[in-house]
Amino acid sequence: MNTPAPTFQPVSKDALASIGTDPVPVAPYVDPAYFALEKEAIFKNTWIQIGHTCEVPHAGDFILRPFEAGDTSVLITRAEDNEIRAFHNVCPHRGTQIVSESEGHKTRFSCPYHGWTFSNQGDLIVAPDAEQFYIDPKSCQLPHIHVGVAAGFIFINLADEPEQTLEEYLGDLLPQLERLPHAHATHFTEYVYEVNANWKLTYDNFQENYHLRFIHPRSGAAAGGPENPFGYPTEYGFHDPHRTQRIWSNPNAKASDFQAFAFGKGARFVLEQGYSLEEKQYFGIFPNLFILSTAMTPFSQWILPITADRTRSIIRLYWVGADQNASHRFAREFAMVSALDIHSEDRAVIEAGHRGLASGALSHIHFQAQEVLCRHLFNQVDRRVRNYQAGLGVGRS
Amino acid sequence: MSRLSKLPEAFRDLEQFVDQWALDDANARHCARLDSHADERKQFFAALGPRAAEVLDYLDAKPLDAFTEAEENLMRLMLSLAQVGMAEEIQRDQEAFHAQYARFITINRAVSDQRS
Repeated sequence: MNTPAPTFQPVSKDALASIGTDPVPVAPYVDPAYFALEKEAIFKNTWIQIGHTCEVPHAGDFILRPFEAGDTSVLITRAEDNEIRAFHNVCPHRGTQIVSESEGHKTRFSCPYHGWTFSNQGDLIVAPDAEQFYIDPKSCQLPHIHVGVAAGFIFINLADEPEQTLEEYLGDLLPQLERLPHAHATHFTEYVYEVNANWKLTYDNFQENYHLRFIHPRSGAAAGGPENPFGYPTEYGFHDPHRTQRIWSNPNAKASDFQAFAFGKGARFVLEQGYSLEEKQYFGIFPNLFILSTAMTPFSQWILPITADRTRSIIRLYWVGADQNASHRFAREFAMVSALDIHSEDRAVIEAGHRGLASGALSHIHFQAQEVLCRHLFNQVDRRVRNYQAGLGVGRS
Repeated sequence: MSRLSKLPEAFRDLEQFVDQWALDDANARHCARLDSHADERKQFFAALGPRAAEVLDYLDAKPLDAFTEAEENLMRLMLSLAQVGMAEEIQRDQEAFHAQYARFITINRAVSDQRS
């Protein structure tokens, strides 16, 4: 009997309607006043990924990360007690930023202005001519930031007292994240770019596959196929405030000879490490991180708002163990190149989207059912912004 | 780098590509692809692509940290081939279009980078 192979069915419109069906207002994507509210309501009040434990593997290691949406720069240290700590990079004497290197190995940090010197646990060790002060310099520590580690990632929370622990915040996604290569990474490859666009528009580009056939007809060819021409995912998950999707890939996609060669060189190492080549889960961790679990390109994108219309994306491929030989090194390099090519293709449309919305020509935009993750991000952001405004006694008309 | 031994004996015929493509770090290779002419990519891919399996078999016989400078150069050529193979086989006549946006991306570090 000629039974046709089961064809792909996208998740139904009706099943996704509970996330919302209305047009979405434009102002939150372009308005500097809305961005100012997002900074207070979200970026200074939520667990934010700031790095990875493999960046500070040894006692005495530190990293410094700019965090514009939190109006600060964050010093992360691993001290001799093996604890990871986070501080504002701010001298409690007169507020001068202390550290300027982006990473290194130091157990003492000295302020360049007047020589106040701190341990990597934040304690003041030396304040020159301390007796001239009217305060006890021992009470002056580096301003502390709440820090947590989950699945290898380092998160901070700028709130005075976070409403939830990091574990509570990640909830049922945490055990899934802990199984990813990212959680066990010892090395990473990183590339970065900035776009003239709002952070949510930047993020949204990576939350829907509707655009793939138009923007990535070549580099993304395997993401679609006759039975699923738009490459829609096979399922969505809503884990408020986070979200997931399971990526569909075309089982009949034909890789180019060179792609197949590079894939073959890398696959052995992935399998030897016990990871599946079938892993295709996408994790959208609120507010500004997403993680792709594919073992050949174990990937994260960290979307850092700079201003209402400027965003930095930091893309990392997380690797378990050093390159084992030339084939392994080559395969990992090719995985990076493949991801980077796709990122470069998205740039123009992300910026064109922002310019169009900033023109003021539209009051609302439209998300179809298969753009539900974009809608979910908007819902989660807007709820927090409204709650924050309500707390200030500022209503929105 | 010794002019006499840019590449291992068996791969000396590829030496003409060393200056352009045997670069130290991933960002330099990314830039080399974007700055190259179509003919340069085509020639490099035509010469090294068919020998990629042979090159990796040769290099896999040794640990990465035991490479001679000539072997390291051969490794660097293979890493540039990852870039050029993407341009030649996937982007094809769209490579110039792609390159104008790829220029905005900087590779800060790669696991392949030679770090002292």
